[in-house]
Amino acid sequence: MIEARNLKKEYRSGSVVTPVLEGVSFTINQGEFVAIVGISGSGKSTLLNIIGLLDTPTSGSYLIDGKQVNDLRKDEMAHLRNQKIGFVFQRYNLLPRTSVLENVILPTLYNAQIKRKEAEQKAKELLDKLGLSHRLDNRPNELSGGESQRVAVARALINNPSLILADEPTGNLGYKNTKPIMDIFQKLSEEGNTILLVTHSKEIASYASRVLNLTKGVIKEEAPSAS
Amino acid sequence: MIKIIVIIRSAFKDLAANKIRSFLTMLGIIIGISSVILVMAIGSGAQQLIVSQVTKMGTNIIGVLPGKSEMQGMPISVMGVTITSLKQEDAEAIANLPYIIAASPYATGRDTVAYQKEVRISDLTGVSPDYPIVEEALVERGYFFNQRQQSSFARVAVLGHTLAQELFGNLDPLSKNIRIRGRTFQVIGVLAEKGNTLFGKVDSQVFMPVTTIQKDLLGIDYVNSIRAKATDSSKMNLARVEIENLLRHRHGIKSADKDDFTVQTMTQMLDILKEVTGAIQAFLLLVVAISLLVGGIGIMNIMLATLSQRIREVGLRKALGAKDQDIFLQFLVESSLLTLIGGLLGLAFGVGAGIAIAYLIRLLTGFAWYFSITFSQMILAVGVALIIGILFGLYPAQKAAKLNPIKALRYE
Repeated sequence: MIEARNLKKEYRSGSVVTPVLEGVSFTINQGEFVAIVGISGSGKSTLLNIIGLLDTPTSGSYLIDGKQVNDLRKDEMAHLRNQKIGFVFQRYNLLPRTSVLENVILPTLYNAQIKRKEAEQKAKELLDKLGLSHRLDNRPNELSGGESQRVAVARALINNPSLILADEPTGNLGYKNTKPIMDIFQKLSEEGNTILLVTHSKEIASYASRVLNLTKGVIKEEAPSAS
Repeated sequence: MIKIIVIIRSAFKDLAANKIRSFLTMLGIIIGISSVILVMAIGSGAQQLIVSQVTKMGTNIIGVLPGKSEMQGMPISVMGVTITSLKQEDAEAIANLPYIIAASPYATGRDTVAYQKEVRISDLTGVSPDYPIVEEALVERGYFFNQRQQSSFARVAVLGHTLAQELFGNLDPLSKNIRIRGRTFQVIGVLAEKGNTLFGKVDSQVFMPVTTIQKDLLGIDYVNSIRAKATDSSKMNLARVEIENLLRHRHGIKSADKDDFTVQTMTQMLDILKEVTGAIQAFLLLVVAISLLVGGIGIMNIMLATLSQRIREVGLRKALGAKDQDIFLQFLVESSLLTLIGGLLGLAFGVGAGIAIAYLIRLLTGFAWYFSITFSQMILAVGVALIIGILFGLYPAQKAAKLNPIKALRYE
């Protein structure tokens, strides 16, 4: 369960204070598929960084699985990112010159609990499920955009995260590849994964079961449009 | 904490993916470390050679050179300054001292030596009949000249083994006449082969009475040096003091600081030679150290360049859970691996080149020169390479570790 209570973030430059988030609160329950929609400049990226434990709020509290995580040390945040968050980026961010299998295993290098053999086994299962079992030894530059993003999804799932955090996951994909990726997120949601999708597109957001609208640093719940 | 084997393996992969760049980066270290190996091997090879040569000549040899020695070093006559204070009669007086078996003066020149159509340019050495005793030289054929021939300025010559072969081939050289600077000398003896030494190619020289070379060929009344053989090596210092007192008396010198000669035992000369080779080796190692420093700066340069290409990778790894120290370690392992491999290649290359050079020296000069390096010296050289990788990798690794993941992920 993800819980944000009155999150505020402001940037200081000398004596000038620029507020970006002005008290954001929401709760995402286990297994929910939620989209945060906002135009650029709405504070979307800042909120994403705080939820993804890459940044800390100026005030307010943030809880993952009931544990307060907004005031942790850098190393503790890195550890929680590894354990609790599965990132899917707009630009896939796969390591070049590194095989698909190695890319999926990458987060387990920073996870002492999982052995390499288990990691490989798990990665193969995930890639098989995502229809990439024939691509294990390929390099990212040999993959299509859709395939690359599926590799990134497999990478996000490898450590069994509490939250899959997808930032414009179809932003670099054409229309043809968008639906298959969004179908994958829906399927993952049906399997009980908690997903937070950040997008500027209402159409993409419509795949989610709940939509939160972020405007000028304030969040509002929206009724999902019937799809 | 990321697993160290995993980092080493991924660092290996990364270096292998950029083979040419990795090799060029390593080149500075390869050259530096192979130079270290060569300098150390050549230094100890030279010292071993000197020790074996001196031991072969006998440790109970005492040398007398003209001119006072400066401090503990060599007298200036070694540098080519002519000093005329030593005479043939000094050598004769030394030979009669109680702790001395034999002594010979040395007056040397270089000129053409001809037998019929065969002409060679050879070192000419004027000595006394004591020479074979002092230098433990064996006369292979004929005989060495005697005191009467020396007193009468006889034009007789004893040839080194190699020179006799070159001039006469299969002919018997004895009683044949050779011409040295237009003057006729009779060959009366040939020395047994001695092999080359650091102190001259004895086998290619012509030996003659010191009186003859002084009068007929050089036109001088002094000698270049005197070498004496003591009765046994435990009496060296006594013999040295005797010689010094004798020469002071003969030269009318009242106090030791007015000496116009230098007496040195073989062990003293050995120490000086060792000191000189040691100093040269230390200087060369300093030069090599500078080249390693340059190599290290090259490593740092490349690590910074790779970092700027891999900022997004660092951002990604951090987003996926890498701690600062994981990134730090990743970059440090990469630079260390680079110099470690460079060090190992440099070691292999240095050993190979050292063995080849030692072989060539043996082949070309006949010196008993061997490649010698100890296991701990090898470990030291590779260790130095590794330390360079760590030291010069610290800054780039620190820089990588401190990258802000949010900015790094957005980096274009």
